[in-house]
Amino acid sequence: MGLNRLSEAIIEKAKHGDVHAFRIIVEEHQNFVYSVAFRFVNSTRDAEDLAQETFLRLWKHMSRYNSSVRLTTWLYKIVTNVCLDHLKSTQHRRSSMDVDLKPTEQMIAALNADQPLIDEELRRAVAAAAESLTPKQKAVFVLRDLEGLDVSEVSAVLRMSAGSIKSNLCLARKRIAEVLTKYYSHVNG
Amino acid sequence: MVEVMKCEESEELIWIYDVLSTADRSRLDEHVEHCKYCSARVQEWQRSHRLIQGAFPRMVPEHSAAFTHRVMDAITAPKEQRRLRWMTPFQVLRTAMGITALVLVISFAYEFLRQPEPFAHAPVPATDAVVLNTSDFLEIKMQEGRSVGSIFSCVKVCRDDAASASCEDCVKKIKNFAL
Repeated sequence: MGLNRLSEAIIEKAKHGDVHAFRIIVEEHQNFVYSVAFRFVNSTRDAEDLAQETFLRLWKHMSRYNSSVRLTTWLYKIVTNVCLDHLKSTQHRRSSMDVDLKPTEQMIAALNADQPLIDEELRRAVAAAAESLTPKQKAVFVLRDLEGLDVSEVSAVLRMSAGSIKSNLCLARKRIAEVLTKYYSHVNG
Repeated sequence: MVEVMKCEESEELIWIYDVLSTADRSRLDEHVEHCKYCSARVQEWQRSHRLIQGAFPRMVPEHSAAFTHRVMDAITAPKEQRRLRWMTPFQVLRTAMGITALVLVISFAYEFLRQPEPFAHAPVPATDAVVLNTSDFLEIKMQEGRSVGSIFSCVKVCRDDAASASCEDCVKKIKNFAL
């Protein structure tokens, strides 16, 4: 994505504290960083704050950036850590949350038609189900299922073993599929 | 020989079909091919997976230019100001409590490790005031050839006797040390 368009010279300048070069990096990657953050927290305001914090950390550690690693990989690590810190600090507030959303008529019709649903209600339901995941499960779910990283990339970002990633992914998918099954049962019942 | 997969194992592996090793995936495929129940579960999962991916489209900041300005302003802001802006009241309280605890621990450790000062008698004031100095009293009595026991037994006897003035030792002792 954006990284390919960014010349190494710009990254090199930013590494040496060039604010203007860093601005170009922010402009180029802000959509990507914001999108990942939003998938973690499902809130526009929090996503903006977390994306900002991600770029602040990137700027702080820019001089240590190793050019052999893709900038997006490094950004994945930073934004994931920032989001995990945020989720851990707010976990107690979400732990008691229970997902109990009923499908709308429009959703039921769409499900019956077996068409791909990109529906706000469904998005809210799945997002609410994702809220009940532990931070680790959520990180694995976001990086693998939503961002499409392979297991080795997820392992590099989260510093987790492949086995741990698979078990967390299994639990996360089961939990979210549970919510979707509720919808199916409403449709069939 | 490849071990035949059972439904219990298959049900767990179906959830992570896309990240299975080639060997596990082959075993699962073989099982699913002959098991209607697990085959239905695979289809169910694939359908759910498509729905999940469609439920999280990529989002972008509402005002990209404003976001960039915000980030750049934060980068160029003084360090202290930036740090405080990110601290919630709870974090400030936690930091303050942490610093207080650290100061207390250091104080206790300093007091504990400090060498105690040697004990010294208070100097006797150069006045006519009578001051009882027990160690000096006993030392003098010992020099006079009296044991500590006899001094105290004498005192005991004199207290019982109303005519204590008859006891020479007591008279001397009272005169010398105003007991």
